[in-house]
Amino acid sequence: MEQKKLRIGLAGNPNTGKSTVFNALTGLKQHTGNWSGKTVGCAVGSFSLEGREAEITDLPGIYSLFSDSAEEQCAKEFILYGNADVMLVILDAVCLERNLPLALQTAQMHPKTVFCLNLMDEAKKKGISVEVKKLEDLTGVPVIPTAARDGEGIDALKKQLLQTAKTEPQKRKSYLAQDYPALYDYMEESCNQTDFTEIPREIFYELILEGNEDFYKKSMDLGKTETDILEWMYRRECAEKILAEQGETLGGFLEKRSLFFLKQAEEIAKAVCRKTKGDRDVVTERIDRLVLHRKWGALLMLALLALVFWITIAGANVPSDLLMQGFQHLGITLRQALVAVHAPSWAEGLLMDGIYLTVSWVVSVMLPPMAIFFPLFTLLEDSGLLPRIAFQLDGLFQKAGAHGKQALTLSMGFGCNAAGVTSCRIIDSPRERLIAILTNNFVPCNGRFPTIILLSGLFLSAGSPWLSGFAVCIVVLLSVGTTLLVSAFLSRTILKGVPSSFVLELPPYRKPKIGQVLVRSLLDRTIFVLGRAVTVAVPAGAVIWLCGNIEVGGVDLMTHFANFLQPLGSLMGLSGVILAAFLFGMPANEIVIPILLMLYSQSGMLIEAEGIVQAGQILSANGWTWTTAVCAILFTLNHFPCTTTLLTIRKETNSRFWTAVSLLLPTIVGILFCILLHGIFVLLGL
Amino acid sequence: MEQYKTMAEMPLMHPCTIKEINGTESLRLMDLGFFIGSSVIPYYRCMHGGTRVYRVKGTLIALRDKEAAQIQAKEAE
Repeated sequence: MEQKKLRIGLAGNPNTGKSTVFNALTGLKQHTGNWSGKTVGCAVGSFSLEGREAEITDLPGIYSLFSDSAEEQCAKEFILYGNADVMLVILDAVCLERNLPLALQTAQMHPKTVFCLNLMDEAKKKGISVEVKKLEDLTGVPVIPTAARDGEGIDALKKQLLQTAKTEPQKRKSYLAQDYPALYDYMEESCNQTDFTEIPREIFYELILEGNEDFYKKSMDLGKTETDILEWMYRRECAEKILAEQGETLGGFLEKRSLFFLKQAEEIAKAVCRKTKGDRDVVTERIDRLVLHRKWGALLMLALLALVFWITIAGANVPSDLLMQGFQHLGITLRQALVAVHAPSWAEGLLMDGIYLTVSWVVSVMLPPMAIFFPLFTLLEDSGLLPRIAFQLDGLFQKAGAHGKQALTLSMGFGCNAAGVTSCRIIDSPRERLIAILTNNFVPCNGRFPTIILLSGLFLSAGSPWLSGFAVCIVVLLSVGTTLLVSAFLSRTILKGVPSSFVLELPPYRKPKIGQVLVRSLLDRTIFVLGRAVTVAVPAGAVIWLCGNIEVGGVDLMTHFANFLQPLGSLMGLSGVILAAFLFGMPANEIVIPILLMLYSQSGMLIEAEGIVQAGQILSANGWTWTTAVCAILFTLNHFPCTTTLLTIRKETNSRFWTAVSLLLPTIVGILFCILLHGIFVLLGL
Repeated sequence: MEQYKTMAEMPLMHPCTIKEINGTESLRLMDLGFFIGSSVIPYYRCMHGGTRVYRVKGTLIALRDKEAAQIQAKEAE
């Protein structure tokens, strides 16, 4: 008989290496960043446990199950109703006390729980030792020590998961039963025993006392009626009266319950942890003295950003030329092959001048900057710098009336705006979430960065990569500035309100694993973005070739289209052709420049391409100057989101109106910026 | 009764002990390690102010002053 799939839930605080354990178990490369709130929604992976199929769900990183954030509700629902056979809770061996409350709460809610004591390597380095056996005795839960980044202890963990799944469920006495026997007895007597069979009864009583709306909603989903809910509300009121007789309140009860776990965690941690050095992280403190400095911090971050862009710009030219040469050689062979099979000339034009040329532009112009930039950015992400940047920027976000977590969703947007929009789920307040969603597109994503880097390198470097690196830095600052301004505008006009609370954990600095960073950023990001670009480039190349070759009234379609856009384009310091390229690039921003090069090539300026330098020559030959480049960069920064992002916004906001706003807002801002800047250029006679 | 200062007013780099928590966010603050008796060190203030980093229970946590003002604390001797 085939065995049932084993379902495992993975819980833990933020920054405990939860996603690393997930990856170590499944081999699936889920992206692990060194900052809180990375897991939005739940990642699911599967692996084999001694021949039995296991499915593991990575829950959002949280601190407890008792305060009502969206992430906590999601985790709690999974623990209670997710039908998990085993709950796996990750504990950080370095700061056990902080991690234990969630672990103890989970163990109380789920009868089969395993603790994974991760980051044992880091703890050892910091002179912290944990008595594993004693921890098991005190918590009554099996504990497996691991160093997941190096794969240590993962086999033992797998064995334990399987074993715990097979053993009898562990019944643990609830807090209510332990500390409030009178109230517990009342609940026992008054609640119908068949009231709710989906979850353990003691936990059900506590949920009634919490009186959380999400719980009511979930219960209705599970077939409970309004009468049931009203009945539970009545029980809650009675419980309140019982507590009042003892001079207590429900709020006080809930607070005491949280404290109970905190104190228990404190005691257990004290009993099992030995520190041979002080618990301060000297390295992190030293770096923080600089990074978190009120003045030097900002300068340092800017310098770091400039360095990243300098390396990207300085390093991209040579590989780009080599790639283009390769494409040319291959192109010649392909053309010969087409001639040999007597392919008609339109087919040769469509395949070679249309599709092949666009694809070779996309790969040779976009791949090198991406392959350098993404690993560098991933290094920044992994080291723990990103949350610090978010912290430094929070003062500004607060003034803009935006949520502090918007700095994180914004960082995510630098990777991909669609991912950035999805990550806005970590913001609880609907108003601030909407602001974060609508403004996410104002920071350049993976697809737009290469365009900005390329244009800066070509027109704004004056022969020095440092200068263009500096220019890209200014672009990044400008994008953050625009985000803040638009957020401030929204929060003072159509999305008025008070900023809600903001909490962010700053993880210790961790030395990134260079090999993993390379593999992950190359595979996950570069190949993904490039793959998407090529997929879009193939039909786009064909359409552009067709538009350039189908004539209506003696003029080809592309010229008609470009002429139509020309008045607006020239007002913005661009041209009709450039705007056409942006529109054609809507499915994927990374193909805007390749499309542009194609369009120029179509219009008789066919130049044999040789990579980035040649690309610059084509643009210059078509009237581009540094002012055109500045306007184009500005419009790259501020224009309609790509189709993927738009679809994501539609899904996340569930509103056509806000999707339309997210389309129009950056486009209008971009058009206005460009017209203004172009006006200034004209006035100055540039 | 002894007068305490709010956590947002505590001087940077001076350890203090939490004496009281009021307001709507108390449960969430507790989960982060801010509960009566916890020892906390305010570390840094962000560039434009309004948010500070605190070291509590072995971790650095950034809190806006609005939340930190719900915590009453006393400088450790």
